[in-house]
Order: sequence, then structure tokens, then C-alpha cells
Amino acid sequence: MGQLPHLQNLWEEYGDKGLHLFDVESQNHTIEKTKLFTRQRGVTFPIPIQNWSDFPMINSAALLDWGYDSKKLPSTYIIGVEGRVIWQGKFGFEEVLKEELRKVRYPGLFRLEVDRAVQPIAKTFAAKKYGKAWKDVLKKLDLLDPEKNTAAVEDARWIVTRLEEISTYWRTVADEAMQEARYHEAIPALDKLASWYSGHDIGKKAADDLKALRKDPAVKKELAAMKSLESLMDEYTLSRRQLTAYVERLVDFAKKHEGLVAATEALALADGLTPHPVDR
Amino acid sequence: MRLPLVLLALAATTAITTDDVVAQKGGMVGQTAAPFTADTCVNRPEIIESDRLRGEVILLEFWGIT
Repeated sequence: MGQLPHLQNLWEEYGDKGLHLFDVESQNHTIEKTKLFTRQRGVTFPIPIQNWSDFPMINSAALLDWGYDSKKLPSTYIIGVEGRVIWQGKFGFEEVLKEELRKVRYPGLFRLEVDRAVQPIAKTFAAKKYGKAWKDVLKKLDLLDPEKNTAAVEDARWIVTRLEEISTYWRTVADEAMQEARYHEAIPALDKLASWYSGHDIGKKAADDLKALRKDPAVKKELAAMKSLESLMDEYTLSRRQLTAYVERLVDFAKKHEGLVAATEALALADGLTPHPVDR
Repeated sequence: MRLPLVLLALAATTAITTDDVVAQKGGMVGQTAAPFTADTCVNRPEIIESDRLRGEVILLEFWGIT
């Protein structure tokens, strides 16, 4: 728990530079409780819930043990660019981590090296200028001779693949969120697409969608309700004495905002906070 | 009076040795990490699949709220 601010700093500094940080809640708490707890501490990095995860690298006895003995936590592993464990322990991994991150020259590309002919494009990609990278890589593919420049062509095609994968991923996140009226999730996804793919049709469509959403009164209503719920979430405390009253406030919130996504979310939080056998 | 002290010292030595053995058995540095997945996650709506992150760095920490 004491590591959260430190990990948050690392995430803010290296989250866009090749670091994937997963802080697994391993004490059988519900996702709702974990969400409220970490939100209050300003945590934005991913927190998987161990009970809903599969970590074959960790033996099951250790996982079970951690659920009951917090003194054995945290247990930290750093997996390097080659997919091997390069550090294991509790604290003091910073130097190893930073040294390994220096090897990631093109974050998001999942390739440590690329042919010299496409390095400038890979750098544009790494700067998240995906719209420009896409145009440049297509131009480059037109110029390259597949017979003579096999490696460069292969790397250029890989960049196109990654550009497609990233855009498809965020477009799917945005579309699914819009379908479910989860506009607080759709808007950040569209913002990313509009900014990253600026100058490309993908970016233009995202910008148009954003404009339409921001004008829509139904969207404004959902966003206002979600903002109120977030304020209520910030008032959560770990105190068991105050838990019942807090759950009642969530239920009241849900009644007041009936029919909105924020109400469904409030009820899910209330349900997740209600003690059950696993959580006692 | 001496016997219990000897037993205590022996017990302490045994405990340290056992811990060391456990630590060595659990030492994973240098091993290829088996791919992991997580499908319920705060701050990340989609399923996490570690084998899609090859070529980058993963910091995996197990912790608990309490």
C-alpha cells in the first residue's frame, strides 16, 4: 500500500515509454472496493484482481498465502524486453527497471530494432504521431523494393500492422462505450484517436464523433451524473463502522439517477462493498 | 539451563536455512516468464495478455489493500 504513490510516479514517467505496470490486488478484495481505495489515492495504472487473473508463473500456494498474510506482500517481478524475469523481490528495483526501459527505443511498436530505412518513421510512431507515421510508412513502402529491401519492407509492414491494431483497439473501446452510454469512457478513447491519428481519416472520424457527443444533451446528463458519482466515490472510507451508511448513500444515489449508467455503477459499487464470505 | 539455549540456537539456525531454501526455490530471475492474463482490472477495461507486450518492460507487483 505504501508503494502506490511511488508506482504512480513511475507510471506517469514511463507509462508511455515502454513500461507496463500491473499491481495485482492479492487479498481477495472485490473490484469495487479496490476501485474506490485506489481512486482515492490517485492511482491510474492498471490493478488486476487476482481472483480474476491467471498467473502461471506464480505457484498457487504462494498466491493463496498472500491472501492471508499481508507481511509477505508486496511481491514484485520485473519482466524484461526478452520476456525473462530480470528482478524479483519487494523493493529497490528502480535502477534495474530504468536500465531495461532504456532498451525500448520505440514504445508501442513491440520491436527493439528496425531497419535503418524506417527508423525515422519508427520515431514518429514512438512520439504517437500515428497519422503522420501512417502516411510516411505508406510512402516508404511505395519507394522500397521488396526484393532488395526485405528487412525494411518487413519492418514497414509491421509498423502498418501496429497502427491498425492500435486504432482498431481504441475505436472498439470507444464504440462499445458509446453503445452502453458509458460516455466517460468513450470520450477519452475518442480524444486519443483524434490526437494520435490527426491528419488521417481515423482521427477525423474520432474528432467528428467527439463534437457530436459534446453537443448531445443526453450525453451531458450522463456525464453530469457520473461526475456526481465520482464525488461520492471520493468520500469512501475503509472504516467498517461507516460502511453501511456509505452503501445506503450509493443506493440513494442510484434511485435519484435511475435509468442512467451512473446509477447502475452506484448499485454495482454498493453490491461490491457489501461484506460477503470472501471479503470478511 | 544450557540445553534450552542450545535448542533455541539450533531452531533459529534451522529457520534461517529453511527460509533460504524457499527463497532459492522461488528465485525466478533469468527464467522466461509464463504468459499471464487478467480479465477483471481497475483502470483497464480490456483483458490483459502479457504475451502481447513482448519487447517492452513489465512491472508486476502483488499487493493487498489491507
